[in-house]
Amino acid sequence: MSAVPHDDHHHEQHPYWIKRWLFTTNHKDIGTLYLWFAMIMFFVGGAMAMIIRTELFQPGLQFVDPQFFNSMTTLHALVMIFGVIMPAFTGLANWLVPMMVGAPDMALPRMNNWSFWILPFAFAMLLSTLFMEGGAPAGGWTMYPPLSLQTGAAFPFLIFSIHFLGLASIMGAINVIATILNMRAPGMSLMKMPLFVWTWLITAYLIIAVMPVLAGAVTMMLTDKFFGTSFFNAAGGGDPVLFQHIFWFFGHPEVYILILPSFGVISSIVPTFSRKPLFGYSSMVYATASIAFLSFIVWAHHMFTVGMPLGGLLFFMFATMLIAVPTGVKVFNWVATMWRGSLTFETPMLFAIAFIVLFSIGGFSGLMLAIVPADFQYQDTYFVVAHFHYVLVPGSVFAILAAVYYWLPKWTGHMYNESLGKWHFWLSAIFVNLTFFPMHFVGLAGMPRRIPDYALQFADYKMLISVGAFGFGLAQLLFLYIVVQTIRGGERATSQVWDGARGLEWTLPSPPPYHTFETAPVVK
Amino acid sequence: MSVTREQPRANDVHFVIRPNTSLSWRGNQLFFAGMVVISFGIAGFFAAQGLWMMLPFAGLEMLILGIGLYRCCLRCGWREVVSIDGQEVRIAVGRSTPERACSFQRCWARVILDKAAINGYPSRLFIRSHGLQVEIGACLVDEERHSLAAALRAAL
Repeated sequence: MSAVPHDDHHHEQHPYWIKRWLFTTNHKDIGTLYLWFAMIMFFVGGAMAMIIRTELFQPGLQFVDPQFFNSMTTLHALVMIFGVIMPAFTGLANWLVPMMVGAPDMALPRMNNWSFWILPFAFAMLLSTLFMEGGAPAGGWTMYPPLSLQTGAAFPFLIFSIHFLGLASIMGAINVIATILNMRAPGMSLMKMPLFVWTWLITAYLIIAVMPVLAGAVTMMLTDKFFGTSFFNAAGGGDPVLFQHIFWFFGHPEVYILILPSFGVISSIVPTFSRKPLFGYSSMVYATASIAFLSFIVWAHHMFTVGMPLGGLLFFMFATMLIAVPTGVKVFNWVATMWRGSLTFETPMLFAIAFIVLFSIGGFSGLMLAIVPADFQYQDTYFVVAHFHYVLVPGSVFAILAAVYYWLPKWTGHMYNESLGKWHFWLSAIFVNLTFFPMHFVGLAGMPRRIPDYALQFADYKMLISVGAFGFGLAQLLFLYIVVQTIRGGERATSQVWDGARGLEWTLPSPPPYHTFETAPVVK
Repeated sequence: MSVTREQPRANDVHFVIRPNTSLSWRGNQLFFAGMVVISFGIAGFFAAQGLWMMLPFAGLEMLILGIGLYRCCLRCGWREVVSIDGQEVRIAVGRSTPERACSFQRCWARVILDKAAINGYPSRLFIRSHGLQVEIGACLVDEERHSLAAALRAAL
């Protein structure tokens, strides 16, 4: 030990420019990187959606060939799931979890840096397949064999990019778990944690539980293709349906990985703008845990039509319907929080209310799909496309947008332009419904998914859907403008920002110092 | 975080300063064991169906989780021990055994509590003597640091 100079200004020391972003171990910097990455990929995946909707604007084949169309549907899904929603929530977790639990940083900062920087490499690998012989993967994001085994040179790149994306998710999840379990401030018991922290703890647990299943599944496909194994090859004694089982054993919890953090975001925003504490905090925690548990025992509802025994069909149908109970508890609690609250309707609250209403529509169509005889009719139609887009766009994406508007003043120290925010909300809310609601009707009328052409009877609705999609896409450019404008300047934000906001992150200045909570706060 | 005061003899006193740990070593072990059971349970079930390739991935993942939790526990096991014995003030820092240590003469050692120049930043506590100073209690909250400073002054 030697003499220690006393310097109060070390709190703001950090490297600059490239070094800061490339080598950073600071949770706020890494959170920012994640959020920008998600934003960029949102426009990449959105551009793919625009190509899909352009082709589907009119019946017949106009702009792209069917192979490329299928590549677009496949990559759009992979980009939106692994490149937008998951990184955006990980970015939010990076920014917010340490500040919410009173920790100075994430528990494993170097691993945090790695888990982010793996992502651009993984997506560079995945998107490079667009330029490969045989084209990009076109067998759907579910990668069912034997169809996906027909992929050309892109196949191993698809598998390895999935591995890297999984690795990044696992490392991010381990960091979140280690931080929440070990670094909570004195006095912050598990049942005092903000709901966003709780939902992320359970999400991280889900990621850790299911990612090895996906990794194993895609590796077995790789060995089937290149090393002569027959895990999923019927000719060699394997079973392609088994792939569907293991894929959905991963895939259904993945749906909750994409939605549970949204519940945490909404549970933060609704009480703030209702100026009331969250109704039924404990029941929210137990409902989240119940949803996570049930997500492991419902996977086969994605594959009712493969020919399952009646007992299996019944089990998975009823287990799926059971999820409506904890989800209903959540919706009830949000509504009860708003009941007789002193409500104001700033942009985050508008997105949160839209989330509650529109996510419920997605939930109800999910219940319809859970009914086995009905599902036999809906399987692989646009009804399914409508269902999961209602869950993921006005569900997850709206929650992310709400979160950005809610915490952006905290992150940047500036208030965003409220009028533009409201414009963004109303354009998004109108166009998202114009895009996805008619999909229910075309689906019920028998329009199959992943097809670049369609019968004339669907033409009017399809055109309407495309107009909605273009409008929704353009509205997101306004969001980009609002974010950049807020970063560059604007009215100064106070530390609390919203008068109803509660929690440790609101005790910090806006923007928070580079290093926060180096001395832990005490939670009473 | 906590400060434990031990008094082995009338004139001697030891202060043990620990960082905050929201989950104990035992709690981490139990959590890890639970995750191992779940992860290998799932992978084992699929391996029994012939899909054995999940096992190495589950193993790799549990290895990373285990290392991550272990590193957290190591950090949480950090201790600062200030021993005031006879004519000496000894400060040892480490986990189970001291990794760094220094000592001052008791009669010359001074306890310095520096308030932060910027409002909202934490105070800092030093033991200083002959131009050398050692910071202690950085992991404590302000209130605890103030109490520790008072207790050290009384003991010296």
